[in-house]
Amino acid sequence: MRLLILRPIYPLAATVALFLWSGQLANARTPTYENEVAPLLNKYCVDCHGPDKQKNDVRVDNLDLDFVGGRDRETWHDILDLLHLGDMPPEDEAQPSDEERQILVEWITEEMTEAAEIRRSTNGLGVLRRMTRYEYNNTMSDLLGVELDYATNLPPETASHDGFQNNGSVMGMSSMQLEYYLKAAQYGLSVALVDGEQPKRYEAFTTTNATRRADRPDPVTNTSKIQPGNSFWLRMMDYPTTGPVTVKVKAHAVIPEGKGPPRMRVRVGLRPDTYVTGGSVGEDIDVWATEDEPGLFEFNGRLEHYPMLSVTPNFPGFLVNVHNIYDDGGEAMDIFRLRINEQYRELNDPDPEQPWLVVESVSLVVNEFEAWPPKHHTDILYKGLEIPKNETAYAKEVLKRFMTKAYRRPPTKGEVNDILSFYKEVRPVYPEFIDAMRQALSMVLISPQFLYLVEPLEEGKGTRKLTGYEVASRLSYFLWSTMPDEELLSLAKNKKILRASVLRKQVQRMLQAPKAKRFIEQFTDQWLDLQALERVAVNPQFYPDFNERVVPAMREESQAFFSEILYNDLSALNFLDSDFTMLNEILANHYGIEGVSGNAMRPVPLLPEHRRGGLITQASMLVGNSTGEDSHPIDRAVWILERLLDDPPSPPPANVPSLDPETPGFAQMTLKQQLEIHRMDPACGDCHKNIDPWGIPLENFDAVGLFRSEAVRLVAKKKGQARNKQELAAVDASDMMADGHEVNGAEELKAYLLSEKTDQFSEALVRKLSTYALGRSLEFTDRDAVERLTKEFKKDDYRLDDLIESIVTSKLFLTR
Amino acid sequence: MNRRTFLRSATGVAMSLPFLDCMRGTATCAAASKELPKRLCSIFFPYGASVPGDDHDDRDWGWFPVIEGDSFRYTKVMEAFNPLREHISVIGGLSHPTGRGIGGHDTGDIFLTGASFGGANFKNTVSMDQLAAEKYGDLTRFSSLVLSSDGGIGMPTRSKTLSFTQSGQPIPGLDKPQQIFDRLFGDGTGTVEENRRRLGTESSMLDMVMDQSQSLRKKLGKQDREKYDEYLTSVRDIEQRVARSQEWLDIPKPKVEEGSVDLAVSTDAPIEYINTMYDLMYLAFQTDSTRIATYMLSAMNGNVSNQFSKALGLGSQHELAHGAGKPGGFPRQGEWNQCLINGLAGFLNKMAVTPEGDGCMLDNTMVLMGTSNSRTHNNHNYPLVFAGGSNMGFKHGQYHIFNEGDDDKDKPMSNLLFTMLNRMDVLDDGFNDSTGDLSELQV
Repeated sequence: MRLLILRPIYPLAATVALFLWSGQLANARTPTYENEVAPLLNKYCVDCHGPDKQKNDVRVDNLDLDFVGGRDRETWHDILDLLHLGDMPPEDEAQPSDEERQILVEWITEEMTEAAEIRRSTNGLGVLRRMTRYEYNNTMSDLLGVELDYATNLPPETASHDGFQNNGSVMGMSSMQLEYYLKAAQYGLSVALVDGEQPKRYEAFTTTNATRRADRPDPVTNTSKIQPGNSFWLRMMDYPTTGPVTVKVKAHAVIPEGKGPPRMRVRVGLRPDTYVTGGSVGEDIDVWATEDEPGLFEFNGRLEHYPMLSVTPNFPGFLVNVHNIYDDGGEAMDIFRLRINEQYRELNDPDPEQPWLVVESVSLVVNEFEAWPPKHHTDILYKGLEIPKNETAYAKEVLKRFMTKAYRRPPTKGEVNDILSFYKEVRPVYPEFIDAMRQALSMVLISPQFLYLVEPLEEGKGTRKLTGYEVASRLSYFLWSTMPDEELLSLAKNKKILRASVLRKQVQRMLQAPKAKRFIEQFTDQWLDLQALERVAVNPQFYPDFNERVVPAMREESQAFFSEILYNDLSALNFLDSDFTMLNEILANHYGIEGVSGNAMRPVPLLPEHRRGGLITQASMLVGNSTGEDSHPIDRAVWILERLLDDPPSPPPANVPSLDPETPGFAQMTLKQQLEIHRMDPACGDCHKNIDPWGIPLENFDAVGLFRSEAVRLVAKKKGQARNKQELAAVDASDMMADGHEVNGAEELKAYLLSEKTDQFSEALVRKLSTYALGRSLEFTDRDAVERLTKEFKKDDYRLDDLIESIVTSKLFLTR
Repeated sequence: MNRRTFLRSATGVAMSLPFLDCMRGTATCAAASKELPKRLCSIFFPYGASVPGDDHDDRDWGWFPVIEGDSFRYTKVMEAFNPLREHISVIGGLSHPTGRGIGGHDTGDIFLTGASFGGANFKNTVSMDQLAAEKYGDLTRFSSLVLSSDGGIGMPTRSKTLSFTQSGQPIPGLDKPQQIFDRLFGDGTGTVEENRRRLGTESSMLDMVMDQSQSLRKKLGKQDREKYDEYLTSVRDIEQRVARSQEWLDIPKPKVEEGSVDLAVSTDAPIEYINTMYDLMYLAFQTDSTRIATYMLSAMNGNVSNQFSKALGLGSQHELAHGAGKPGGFPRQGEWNQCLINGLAGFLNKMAVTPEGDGCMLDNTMVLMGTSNSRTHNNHNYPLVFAGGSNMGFKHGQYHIFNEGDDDKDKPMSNLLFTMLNRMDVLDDGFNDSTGDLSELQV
């Protein structure tokens, strides 16, 4: 019989099950070669593959037991595959019992897993890591004082087997990448360091809504009462393409009963070829201000970010767009778009049932500088536009100061002289000092000391304590995803940063800074694989009512949930189950939870009938691990095992046959029944009996994360019928865990997690957070450290900020 | 001679004018380039193709043609090939022996390398296109063009690029049409003199980075050094590229109107996006900016590319592969395959109608497209299409089945890769684990 493989998508490297650490499995008895494996090989294989006969040139009684570097690694792999397939022993020979076969499979699998781990091991040292794409972008912005898109041409990052992008061993470097680092540096320095005169200042002001097009008025837009979906436009006919831009909006809100405040987003530029509005300037703002007391809101950005191609005369000038992006997920937005598309000639009144953003005036200023040359210039060329007589001495001092920031430590004399000698070589080629200086500073920005977080470790000397500067860098990239600020560097200089009490204080300071948002976003994204939401496209034929616009809120829910737990000293066990979740109006409407209005995420108490709480019933997880048409119980199971329990299952073996769709009645079976057939085959069942029970209890949640008690099944077409039929079948969400616990539905699964898996979860979270903090995978050698951290975490009532402090003050973090 | 001048002269050999500029030029120019270019292009997609059994109701949605007597007929999937039949061969029965025992779909990495998978520490080896680039790269402004719908390198067993350097390092694939266009044809800014000065500066800068980097290397342990050497290799490569740019400085980049390619396409509209990527490869070949191109049209687990089939209303490629056996599964996967073939046919047709020498551009361009699974999780019998290159001695209009009716009797895929490299005069003694050449493909 051929079997269906409902196969999870996850990296092969995840084979390297980290279950060696997980409390539960570490205690499981592993068969030994001498006592159990060898006798079975002798009993079933050696007749044909032994000293006397070597069918197919294979002999199994004297195989090399070294799975790490031994000569027979591939043969063991082949044996495992054949056992999985049931192809060996041949049908006409004596067959091992299921238990016997399982002993062989388990032993080989564990040996291979362990060997892979050993091969990958760095003895706990990790490897040299460079900045990630997002870290590079933040660092360049902070270092040069100008926010530009520095990383746009860099190749996307990939995640390591344990899910993180900041892992040195998976980050590559290539000549093309280096070429783009150089280009980004040269570009950044051409903006950060200014030449000559202050550029002309541009300004525009309006109290009336402009129209996007010049050839005809926009039918529904030219009112100052901006309903959701609509925009207020400002046009500037004469405009530059570079420079800082400030938009000020005076506005108030009109909020109907039961609705939230309008949310304002300001965007700059418009690509007339695609009608795409430029990027946002500043953060979105919920407007509560009233007509009596209108608000004045300011947005800052740089023009370089935004598309302003003005190639068709129908869209002249440079446009600023003040948009009301309030969205309850209802039809208002669609109806509004429809009206635009149908080109209503007459102005319609804005929808009175929706919150309005009433725009009183918009002003735009480009190239306003508090000082000239601007601060980002004098932060590097500290004498401003003046060039001292002794250019070389000045260059040297400029380099020294810049390199201290760029290398995140004072440079050595030799390092400064290296760059200086390059400066001297190119200085005669350039008429202007500043151009030669830009090149010299570019060289700093492609140096390995800048691109990599260097922690030198001499060969054979073992581990060592990190220096103050190295600790400051680790800490800063952990919690801010960027270079250390002045305070961290000065604590590094006087080595105070090495004191536990100072570190704890710094952790608290850093978590309170706005930059900590990057930690929350990056860590939750990578830990929980929130990107999965982008990989799933919901099929509208299956979910005609589903509104794509709710998807970003699903990701925000999980991020805000993490943030809420972190900042309010809540127990991390809330990740397993909680009596609240984070919602805004559109997501609450999707879940069917009433009384939430507005776009801002806020904690909402949950009732049992809401069937939410904890991570596993959040839409980000349920939708991200669906097919877009139906749930994917195996992906969901693997997600729980990988992300919450750090116990990823081995991937399915190669060449496992597919399930035979010709099995009578197969298509009519519920998914659970299909999986049961799947599990009946011992080749699949060995692993799937440990996997499926984690996903089946979530079967009550469909591909868009909503509760259901019936699911659509496909009925195979009969000869003569044109298409397959669909029918509804009752959902069965009960299954038995490998340890014998019966679990029915999501609530029982959460209860099971809380009662049986709290320790495993807390250790997993410790491991995930440590892995992210260190920028490397954990290894055998880290086992004791993880155990200690887990104990402390438990003692601290599972509070995340305490855990962060513990990690940062641990030997793990402070040594290499 | 210092290292820099050495680099310059090392790459300064056999500089020729862009081929088609010559074609358009005078008779003397045409005479100077009697030798026609030899080009190579490889395209990959993951998760296999629709391969219903011969008796299956939906056989006509299968990748492989239907044999009819001495001849064969394309299925619906390859209908678009009908007008191009004499330029195309369909190939079955090849696979990389090293890929046969590994995970379900994990074989894209080795499609062009045939490297052996050694578990978690898998390290790839050089891809066949880079061997060709090494031989022919100096003749063009770019030694090769590496494209990918997902961009970047991905991770081992989930690579997002088909190309690997001599030391097995992945070469990031470019995914943004505008970025690709700018690299190939963008003027950049500044006069020739300014660019000469900039390149001179960059050349010294890289040279000095290289020198100073050696002292840091000494302070690093063994594991760090392996990583660090990736950096050093990159510096060395970019030095060579700068040196090459200096050589090409006086030869203006070919003039290509931006409007001739749709650069604003987004991956949300996969058919248009893929066509743009083909257009860019076509333009790169036509202007002789490079002769070697690879395109990972879609990668296993590619965040972007896995949505392609979905955006067409067909479900993700992974689902298509796993659902092939379900009712209606083969037609669905076949429809996706048909889209892939239609895109390829457009690319081939463009080259077929572009005259070159006595024939057309396609006669001087080998194009290989395929995937490294047949059925789900079956890493045998790669569904392949091989086209063009008749001036290099290939004959087409055929359907070859190289195995002997049994998956395990597949011939090594490296035999095809070797044959291609051999006909291009790159190798004559085998590629990786090849066991011979495929004379059946040749005149």
